[in-house]
Amino acid sequence: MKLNSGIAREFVERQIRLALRPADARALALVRIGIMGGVLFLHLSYRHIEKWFEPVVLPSWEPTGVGHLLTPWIEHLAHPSVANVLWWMFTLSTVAALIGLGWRITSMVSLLGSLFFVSVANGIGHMFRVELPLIFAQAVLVASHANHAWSLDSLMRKRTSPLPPVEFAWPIAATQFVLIHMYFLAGLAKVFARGEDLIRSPLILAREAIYQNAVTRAGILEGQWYEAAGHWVAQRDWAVGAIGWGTMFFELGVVVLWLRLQRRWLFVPIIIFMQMGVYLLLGIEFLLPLFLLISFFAADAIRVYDQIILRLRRP
Amino acid sequence: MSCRVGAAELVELMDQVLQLLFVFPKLEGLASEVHAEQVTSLSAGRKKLIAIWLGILFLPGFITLAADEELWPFSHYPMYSRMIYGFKWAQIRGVERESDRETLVLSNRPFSPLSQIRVTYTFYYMFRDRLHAEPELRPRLMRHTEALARLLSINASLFPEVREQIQGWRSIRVYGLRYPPQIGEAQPPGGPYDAFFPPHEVLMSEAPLRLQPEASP
Repeated sequence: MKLNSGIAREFVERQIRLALRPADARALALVRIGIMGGVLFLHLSYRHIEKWFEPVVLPSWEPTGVGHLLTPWIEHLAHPSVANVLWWMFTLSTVAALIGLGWRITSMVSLLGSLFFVSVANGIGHMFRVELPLIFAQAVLVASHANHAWSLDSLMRKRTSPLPPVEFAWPIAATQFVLIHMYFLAGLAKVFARGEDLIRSPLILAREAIYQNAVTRAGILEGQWYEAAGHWVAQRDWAVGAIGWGTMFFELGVVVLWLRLQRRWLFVPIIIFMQMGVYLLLGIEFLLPLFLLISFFAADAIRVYDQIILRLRRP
Repeated sequence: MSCRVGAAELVELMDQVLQLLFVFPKLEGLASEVHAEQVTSLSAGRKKLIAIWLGILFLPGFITLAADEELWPFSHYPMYSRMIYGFKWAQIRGVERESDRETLVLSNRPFSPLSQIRVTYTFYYMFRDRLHAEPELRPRLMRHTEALARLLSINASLFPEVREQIQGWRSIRVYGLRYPPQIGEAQPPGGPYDAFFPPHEVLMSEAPLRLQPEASP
């Protein structure tokens, strides 16, 4: 089949047009506040990062991927007090970026901080993914004009040069895409599970996941209602199958959200329900990506806000 | 069949299925309409810059999917997409000095700034797929267990509740839980739920705990 470049180009342009909904600077500011709030939460959770640079902890450093770039620094320069100073610098930058102060610099420093913290934490033998979507959303915002409204930068500027609306629309669309991209890839990964039976594996894997939780969290779950729920589900093929297949179907179907944003009223509650289910049945706190959900409702929130202000001002 | 028909119809079909399955709330009035002319208001240079930046962020995910290998920070999020044989899970336990009694460490504080589940996963992935490579695995496991013991003792000096929890311990042990041989290695564990229990415990490593004097957090 000969690829028609005209059709391909038209298809790509259509996707871009579909993705870019009108948004103003305040909607993007709301996304900035949500995402940087999540990033601040992430940085605070690494308050004692200097522990990794203690003499006995350091030898367990096994970087993955671009974490190798940190190796020379880790080996020759790392010291607990330096790590402590870095933590303060990165976290204060995050606070500044959250309130939109010196956005160009502080957002970049904050992004470097997120990559640093998570690279160090992932350099102990296994890569974790829970922080990734938040960091990617942060990376999207760094290249945007997220400080154009509701920020100290905008308050301190005497005159604001107008920007085309697309400058506020594309970062919101890209932030939404971070979440869609994550779920869609996770769905594809299940489809392409190497050398396994596509029909049987979602069922087996879902049961394994629930079982794993039963073993892992035995002490925590004992007597809790969700311990009983986990066992109840694991004993029933239809329930396990519904969870396994339902998850895969949802993860693949999330691509509809990209092309039909109106479906967010369906998909976003499912995302919240699914992640709460993952937490209760599997004990895995995959909750940081939920900060990205603000990008789906920022424009709505601004419309509602404008309507409220309008009504309040009416005599 | 052209590309246009394939892609558009697939999306349309998925959307139709969703519409049949669910009743959408009447909140769609809040959704905005598409402004096609928006894109043209960007300069060519800015457009290129954004396209390159987004390409760097999103394309590697598909490459990791094709290669089935994660390259931090790029991932295809393969959670629960692989069948697991042999070792099923890891556990970290503290061993009491006097009685030799073992306590499963379940709280997050002793592992700060990481969480219990994260540290457990780290050990679990270390030996999950390495049933036949134990000699080379051993030093690595020991290194990590010693690091963990050190981390626990640092946290004990920072947090009173951790100190209270682990002050009677002499060491920590890492256990591997594996399926009974007839289920784990010979065939995938997809059988009846009851067959999953009980898993066999294997002591993988142990490191002594040396508590530090208290420090201010």
